Amino acid sequence: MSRWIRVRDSRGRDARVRMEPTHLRGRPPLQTPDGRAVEAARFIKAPMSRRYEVLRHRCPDDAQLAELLIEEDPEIDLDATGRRTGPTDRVLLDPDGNVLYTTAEAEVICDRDGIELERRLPADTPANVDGESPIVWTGRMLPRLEAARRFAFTRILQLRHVDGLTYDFLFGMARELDEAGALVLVGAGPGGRDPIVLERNGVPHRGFLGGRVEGDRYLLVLHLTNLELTMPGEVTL
Amino acid sequence: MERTLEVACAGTASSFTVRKLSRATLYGTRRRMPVDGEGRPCRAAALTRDGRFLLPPGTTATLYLDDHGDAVERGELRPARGGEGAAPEAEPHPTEATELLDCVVRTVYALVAVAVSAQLDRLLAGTGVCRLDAGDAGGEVRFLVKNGAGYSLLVGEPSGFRFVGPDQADLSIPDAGGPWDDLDLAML
Repeated sequence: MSRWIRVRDSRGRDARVRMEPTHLRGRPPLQTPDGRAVEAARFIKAPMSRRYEVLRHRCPDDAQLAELLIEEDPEIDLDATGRRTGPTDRVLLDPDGNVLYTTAEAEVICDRDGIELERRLPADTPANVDGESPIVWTGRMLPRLEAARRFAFTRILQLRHVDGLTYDFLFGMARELDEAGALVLVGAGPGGRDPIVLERNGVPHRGFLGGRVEGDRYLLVLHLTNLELTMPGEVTL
Repeated sequence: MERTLEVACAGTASSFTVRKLSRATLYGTRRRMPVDGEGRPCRAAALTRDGRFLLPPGTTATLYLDDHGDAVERGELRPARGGEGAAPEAEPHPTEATELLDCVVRTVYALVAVAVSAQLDRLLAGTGVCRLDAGDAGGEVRFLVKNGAGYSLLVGEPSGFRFVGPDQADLSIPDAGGPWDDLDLAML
């Protein structure tokens, strides 16, 4: 992700400033009820060669496979079962279980019931926060409370100045938004109609810029959302 | 089995059924997946470093081991919070929108009200946002939100952003004139 964003203010001026991601602590580690630390470890249950699909190829039907399982226990690999996997590498398998050395990509679109609607060749989507066109104010203001109650902001970034000029620029934006008590909808492309894409082929988000000031200090935050707080089934595609 | 959320407020109890909300459940999904030469979907597997074992999904199990090497059931484990055990229960309290906006939302649940006490509804009548956790140690935060669509539970984490002044320019741009001997090409 670029650490830079080109953003335009309500007066039509734009500047390139820094974006800072959140400083999250992450989920706390797990421990036993009496406070002792635990370690997660991955163990092998059965390797690929002992799975049903592979063993099934050795027998003409399931009845003979059942006999084989009873007589020879081919599904149990005493050397592997219970072993720690240790570090592993990710590989891709075709539906027949063969390792692939190169693959293509398809974009699959499913509805909310998981039913596939369309499959197509994926198109690359470039990031659009640090290009020639700035992220612009759309002029649509949303009171803070309404924004908080309407959207889940799953990604937020702080905008920071890099010199005196950009300090004045961002401070002015934050003060304007603080006085309005609102977030402004921002976006890419002409009129800010396009969603914000932070990384190449990244998830598109709607962006809202919110700001507050305290004396000569400011806090200007880009709130990103792709999820509305509503009940499942109320959204129409 | 349906999960439920119980909220105690001024001696009264409210309960909701809980359903995780995601883009997939609201709008569907659009994802990229690897396919082979014939367009058939591929699946990921793990290969042990010695090349001996190929492990597709379902062939491994994760265990939690304590300091004696004994397995501990996942349901018995608790998040560590500065050695104090589980987070203390707290009464819901109304909060300002900025407190929620200062957090990154990690998980969203749609709540269906089974029984909502008048006290809880009175709290939510103000801003529509109540904080459910005690705010201990700045860890996970939980907000109960009421809007026109119903109730939601948002679980997140404070962003940690601070106000910045004129002398706090972000100059953390990589120094082009820095030393070149720390480029660890062996790790590539």
